[in-house]
Amino acid sequence: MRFRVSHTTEYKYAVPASESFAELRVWPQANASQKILSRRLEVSPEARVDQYVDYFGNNVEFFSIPYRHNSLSVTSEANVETCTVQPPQSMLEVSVGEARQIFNSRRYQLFEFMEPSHHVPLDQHKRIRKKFFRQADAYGEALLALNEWIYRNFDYKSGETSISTPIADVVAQRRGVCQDFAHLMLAILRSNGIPARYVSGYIEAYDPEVTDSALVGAAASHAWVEVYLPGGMWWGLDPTNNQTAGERHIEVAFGRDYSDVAPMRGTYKGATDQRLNVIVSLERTKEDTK
Amino acid sequence: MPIVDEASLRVDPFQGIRGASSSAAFTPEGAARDPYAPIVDVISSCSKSDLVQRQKRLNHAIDELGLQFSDVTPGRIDGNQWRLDLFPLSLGVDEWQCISKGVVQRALAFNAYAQDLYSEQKILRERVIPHGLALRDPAFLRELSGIEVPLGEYSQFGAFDLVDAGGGNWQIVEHHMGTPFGVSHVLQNRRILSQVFPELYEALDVAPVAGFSTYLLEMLRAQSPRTNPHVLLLTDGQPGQAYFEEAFIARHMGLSIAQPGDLLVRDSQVYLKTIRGLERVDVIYRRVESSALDPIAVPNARAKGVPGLINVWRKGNVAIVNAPGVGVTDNRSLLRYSDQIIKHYLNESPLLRSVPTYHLNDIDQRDYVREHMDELILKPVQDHDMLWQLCGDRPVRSDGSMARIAKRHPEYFVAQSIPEPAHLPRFKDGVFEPSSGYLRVFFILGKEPIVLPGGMARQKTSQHRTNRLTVVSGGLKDVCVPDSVVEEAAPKRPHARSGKRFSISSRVAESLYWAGRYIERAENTARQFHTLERLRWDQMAHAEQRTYWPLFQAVAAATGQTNILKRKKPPRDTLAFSKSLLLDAAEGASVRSCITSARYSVESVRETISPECREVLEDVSLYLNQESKRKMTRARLALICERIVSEAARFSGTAERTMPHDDAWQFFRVGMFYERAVGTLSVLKVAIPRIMKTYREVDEESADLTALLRLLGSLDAYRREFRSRAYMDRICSLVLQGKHVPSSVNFCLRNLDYAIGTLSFTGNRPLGSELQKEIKGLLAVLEAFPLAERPNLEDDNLDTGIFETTAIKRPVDFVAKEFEELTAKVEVVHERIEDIFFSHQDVFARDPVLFEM
Repeated sequence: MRFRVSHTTEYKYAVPASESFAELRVWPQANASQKILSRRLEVSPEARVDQYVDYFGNNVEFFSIPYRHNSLSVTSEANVETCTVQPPQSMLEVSVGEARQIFNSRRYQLFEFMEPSHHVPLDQHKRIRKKFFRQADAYGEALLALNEWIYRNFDYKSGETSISTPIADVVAQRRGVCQDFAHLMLAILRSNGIPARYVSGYIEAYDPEVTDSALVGAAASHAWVEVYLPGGMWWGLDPTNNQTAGERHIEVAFGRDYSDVAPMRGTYKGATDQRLNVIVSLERTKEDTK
Repeated sequence: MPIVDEASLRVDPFQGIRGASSSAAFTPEGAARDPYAPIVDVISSCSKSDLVQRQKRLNHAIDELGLQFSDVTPGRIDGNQWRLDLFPLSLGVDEWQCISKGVVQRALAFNAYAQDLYSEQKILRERVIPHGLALRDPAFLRELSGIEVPLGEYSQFGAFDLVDAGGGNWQIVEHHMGTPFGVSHVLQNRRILSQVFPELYEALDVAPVAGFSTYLLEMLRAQSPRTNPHVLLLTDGQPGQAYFEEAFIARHMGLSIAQPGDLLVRDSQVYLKTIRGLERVDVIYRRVESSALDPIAVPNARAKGVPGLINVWRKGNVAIVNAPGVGVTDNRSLLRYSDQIIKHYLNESPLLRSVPTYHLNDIDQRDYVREHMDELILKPVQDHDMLWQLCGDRPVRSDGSMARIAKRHPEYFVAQSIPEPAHLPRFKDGVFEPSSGYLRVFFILGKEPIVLPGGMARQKTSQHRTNRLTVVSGGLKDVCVPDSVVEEAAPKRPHARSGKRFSISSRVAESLYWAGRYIERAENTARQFHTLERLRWDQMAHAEQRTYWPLFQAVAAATGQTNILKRKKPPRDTLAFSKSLLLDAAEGASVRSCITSARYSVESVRETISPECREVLEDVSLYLNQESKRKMTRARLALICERIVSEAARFSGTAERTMPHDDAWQFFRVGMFYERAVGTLSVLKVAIPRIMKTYREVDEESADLTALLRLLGSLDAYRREFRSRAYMDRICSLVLQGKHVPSSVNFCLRNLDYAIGTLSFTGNRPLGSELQKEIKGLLAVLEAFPLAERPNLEDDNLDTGIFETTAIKRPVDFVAKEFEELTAKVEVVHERIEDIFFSHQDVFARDPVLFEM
């Protein structure tokens, strides 16, 4: 499937700002399930944009605007072709016990994604008594069951949580948004000795060809998790939609949790009074909708 | 006459400790060991009172230095804990060679470790050390991975702490490869002890330590390919021991000293904001923690940092020493594996061992620790603030808190078994007693590694410090290394001439500008309240009070108390009001607040101001704090006002006399003159229109005009100029246009203009001259000010006031508007000073490239 994604972040300052500096992680990944056909970034007021690749392999862009400005707008636009890559059955059929053994033998390589991290402490979801992973369970099924359990037991409700809401509160209130569900799922997985990472990206919320096809995502900006499978593949699971990540998911960046992949992180000098506006649009491009 | 043999009367000062076991200075038989023999001889030849005298002189010299690094705590100067002992630590030839070779070996190996960890992590892949130690290290900042560090040397300047386990068996206790602290103490200790006790150094063959700062500067300059690189020292500017050392190093090496807010990133280059504009920075000697360096690259809510700095470094456009992320080399949980690390990277056998160190995350080691806790010292794996954030808790000084945190987070703690170190004599209360300590040795890497032939010995403590970057725990000792072992290393490149001087940073200029403004404002307010008090407000009749009310309002308005302006009638008692504007710390415009602000402005740039000036401010500040606690009477209020006025004069005089009249000083003056001009205007702006309403030309009783002159400190100037009683237009003319009257706006602006004209600008941006033109324009406006026409001084009838205009013949509203407009024009000067010298918006605004959009 082909998509054109456009992601605009706009700041309007009450009092002119100066010395703005920002780092962006809004460049979609090129990997087995998606190809980047084109990509461009526009910053206004105009600024030179530089780029590097971070510890996790994400493309990072950065710029500075030292002089006074009243607003700042950043638009990332990409044309992406996606396909579904399904893991071989053999990887999903191993038992949880066998899988754990394999992870233990690769502890060094998988270290980052098995340890607690800033947004994913491993001691905050104790109120969930349910046991998701027994040694004899089939690994793939157990993962899907957890994915579904979060979907069934938590309400998607925007505006009630923020990035600083701890997992314990999400568990207590049984609601949140995609990033809360992703962090919760990571916490349960890592507590069970299963390597998993946080993915930021976009989702096509409505299938234009099918009626009643709504998928949930925060205005097309989305987050889900990837779980490590014995055999070396990362498998995308989307607890917000009770799905595996497929053609309609576009992956941008991954890391231990949200703080490794924040789409835009910046500072400026000036009054704290600012208006933020984020517009994400995602549309299938013509050749593909027929 | 009987001859008294002095020597026979003298008691051996080392009597009690000669035969003590495990002494580094004496053999069990009581003879002095080799490196100590000359020291013991010299000291034994001194009388007890002589030694006591010398120790006193040592303390005195160090206390004088200590004044400069004491913490600023409201109301007092912290006690100086830095104490230097008379008896130095002395090393033999073999001992020193072993230490210095071992130091270089270890520094190279751990630098290789840092480089490996931030790139391929081979040491972890090959399982030479447990990967958890490295990957759970709070100082391992993944955000800094994959950056190419020149020569692969993360720590080019570092230090190690060693302990003598007996018989010269030196072992490593700690690494300080990230931010080595104490080199200023090494240099100062040597300088002071050799002044107080020159005989010691005549007897010993001691290698000099002073050259070390030259090597350090050379190393820093060598980081940049440019011929005259701009090197600066980056500090977070927190007052205390660390800042004292930083200011010392910067002064010693001629580096500018900067705080994160002084730097600005633009198009992948980093610049220092200076009064001349933005100056590109080539090398940063970093004294700010890696995790606090760049809030974007390494998110850290606690630090402002320099947004974007890491990306400039990543691009190779600035060199940072020591490299950000270097902290991993100080990880104490690695000490246990130092032998393996040295073998892995250098394929050599280790020359210096680490003291036994146990990691609490390892079950077996933890068991051992539990059983032997009495003999062990508990320490965090890193002293970084980040670690305590991860633990969600931090230890206080009391014993139990560290252990409690360690129980919950064993992964972040080690326990060390410190061998009972060999003893050395320490002079205390007139006798030598045994004491034991650590030795800190400093190195510089680069093409030819250098180990500072000397170091800092400090007393052993039973607990780990809770405060990073402090060493002064008790007695320090100078460290003597025989000169003969130090190879003559020629400087790597000819000593660079200091080249062009870099200008003072915007922050320094801005701080001094504000110090000038605050002190002037404090003086103004104090003088004005004093004048009002002398009118004996409390004894005035009500009608009389009403005559003076405009003046009172003007003074209040000048301090920002605009609510007073709306009052029609004066309050019955002004004492409470006067008191709050003098002493209330919560009142932003009070004299006390102004002095506090001035003091903080000065503290933040203390390296640019003379200690004498600081002392004046300390005095006033202390005085005001005490006075604010006392019961207020009119007499006391008058005393306080008088004291403030004279202290402000004392400060200006002291600054004038003790500070170099350089750019920094000029900014102090710019602030002072600007504030004075604004002060005069704000009094006139309120007072004149109000007085006009009740003014009668021939009113003999218009005493309020005399008081107005006194408020502005210009009564005497008026009398000399006009030889007449006070008339309104003359007053206006005098305090707006008077060329030689210190309170006049004209005088202040011309002095401001002159001060800006003396600033040492170079380069092709004539920033200051632009502003000077603007000020000249303003002077012309002032000259043509429509209210105040110069009276004809030739007139014989000057003092009768009959043949001339002595009142302002304009509508009150018009006058008020004219004053508002003039004030606004003068306020623009402040904005321009800010834009041009401090915030650099001026540069951006005129940069044509940036505005092509």
